[in-house]
Amino acid sequence: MDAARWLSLGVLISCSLAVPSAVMALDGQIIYTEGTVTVTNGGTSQDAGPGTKVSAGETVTTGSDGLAVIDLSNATHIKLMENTSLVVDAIGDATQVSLATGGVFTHILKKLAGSFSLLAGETVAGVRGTEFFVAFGKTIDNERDVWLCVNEGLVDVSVPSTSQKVLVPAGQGINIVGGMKLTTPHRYRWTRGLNWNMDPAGGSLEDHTSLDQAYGDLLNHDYN
Amino acid sequence: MGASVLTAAALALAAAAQAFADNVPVAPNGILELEGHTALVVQTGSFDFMADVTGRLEDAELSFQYRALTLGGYYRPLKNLKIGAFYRLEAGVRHDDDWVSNPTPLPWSWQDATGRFENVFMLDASPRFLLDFLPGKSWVFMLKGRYIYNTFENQQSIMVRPELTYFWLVDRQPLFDFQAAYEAYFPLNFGSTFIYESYPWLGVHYHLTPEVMFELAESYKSTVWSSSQQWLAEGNSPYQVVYSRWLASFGVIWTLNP
Repeated sequence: MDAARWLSLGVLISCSLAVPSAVMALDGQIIYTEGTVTVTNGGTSQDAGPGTKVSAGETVTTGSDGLAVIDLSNATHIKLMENTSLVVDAIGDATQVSLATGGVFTHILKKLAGSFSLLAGETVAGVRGTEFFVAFGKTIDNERDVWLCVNEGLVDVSVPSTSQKVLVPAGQGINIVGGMKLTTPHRYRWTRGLNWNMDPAGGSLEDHTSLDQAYGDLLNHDYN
Repeated sequence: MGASVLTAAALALAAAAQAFADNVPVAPNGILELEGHTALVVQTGSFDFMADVTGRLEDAELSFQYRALTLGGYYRPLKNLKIGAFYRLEAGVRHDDDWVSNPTPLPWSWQDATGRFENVFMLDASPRFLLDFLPGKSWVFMLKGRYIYNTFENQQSIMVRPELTYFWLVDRQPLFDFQAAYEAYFPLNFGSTFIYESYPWLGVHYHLTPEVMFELAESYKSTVWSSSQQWLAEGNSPYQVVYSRWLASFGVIWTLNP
C-alpha cells in the first residue's frame, strides 16, 4: 500500500472541542525523546530532540530504539512508539496528523478551538475521547489492520465507504480489519499493558505492548 | 470302545467350548454412547488452570455409569509446547477384572463400578505447530503424550494423540475450529494387548465469544477386554474381546482471563 493511498483513505480520528484559540500556540514541538528520532521536511531529515519545532508538512519518525512525545498547540500530546512515522498535516483550527507506520498514544490535554484528526489506514474514525491509542496491526493478505483502544472518553469509529459506525467506550478496543471492516469493541486483555504515561516525571514512557497479542493464539488451544 | 471314548471326548470339548463361549463378555458392538462435559479454564500468563466435569451414558441401555471430576492445568514453557498435570476422581470405569462370577461358578457378568471411585494422576506434554503453509493457513498440528496412573490396581498407561485442527477465522478471531485426531492407550502393566483402547475422533468447537465455547465430537471407540483375574484363576482359557461403539459428546467450555 503506497503512502498516497493510506493518506487518501486513512483512519480519521478527530476531536472537536471548544476553547478560545487565542490562548493556543499554533505550532508543535518535540518535548521528549529517547533513542533515534528524526524530523523530515521535503526530503531532508534531521535528528530531533526536546525543543525541536514541528511544522505542518513535516514527518516525525522514531527508530527501533526511539520514542518521542510531540506537543501540538499546547493542547495535544502524541507519544510515538518505536518504528513509528507520523506526518503532521496541519496545526491550527483543524489539526491533523497521519500515522504511516507504528503506533501512537494521543492525549487531549485541554479543549481545542477546532478539531483534531488522526488518520491511519483506510478507515475514518471520529474520536470524542481524550486519551486513545492507535496502531497498525498485522498485514494479512495485503490488508493492514488498525487497532484502536480508548483509555478515556468515547470514540466514534466509522468507515465512510461502507457507512459502518461504532462507538468505542473507555476501556475497550477495536480492530479495524484490513483498515476497512469494523469489529465489535471488546475489553481486550492485551490493552491492559499499554503505557499511557507521557510525563517523564511520572515514570518510564516506553511501551512494550506487542500487537501480536491482539490476535488469537492458535497454539494456545488445549482443552482435554 | 475306542470310538466311544473319542465321541465322549469330543462332546466334552464341545461342552467346554460352549461354556467358554457362554461365559466370556459379550460386546454390544455398534451402539451409540453419549457423553457430556463442561470445563472451566482460567488463563493467567503461561498457566491455564482447568476444572472439568464429565458424565457418560454407556452400554446399550445408555445407563449413567462414568462420571469424573478433573482438576489441573497446563504450563506453557515454550510457544510450541504445553505440559500438563491433572488429578481425576472418577467412577464407573469398567476394568478387565470387573468380569466376575459371583457367586461362583455362574453366571459371569460385569460387576457394578458406578459406586467405585478411583484416583487418577496424569502428566502430559503436547508440542504443537502452526501449519501456515497449508491452504487457509490456520492449521495446527499437536501431538499429545500423557502418562496415566490409576491408583486402582496401580494401573499405568500411556496415551498418545496426534491431532490436526483447522481454525475458521472471522475478523482475525476463531469462530469455529475443526479437529481430527486419533487417540490410543498403551497399557504398561495390565491387559494382554499392546493397545487396550483406541479411537479416531472428529470434533468441532463453536466460539460463541472468547469466553464461551461449545463442543461437539464423535468418535468410534474400540476397547479390548482381556481376561479377568478371577477368570484366569479358575483355570479358564484366556480371552480377548473387542468392544466397539460410537461415542457422541457435547461440551461447554468457559474461559476466564482475570
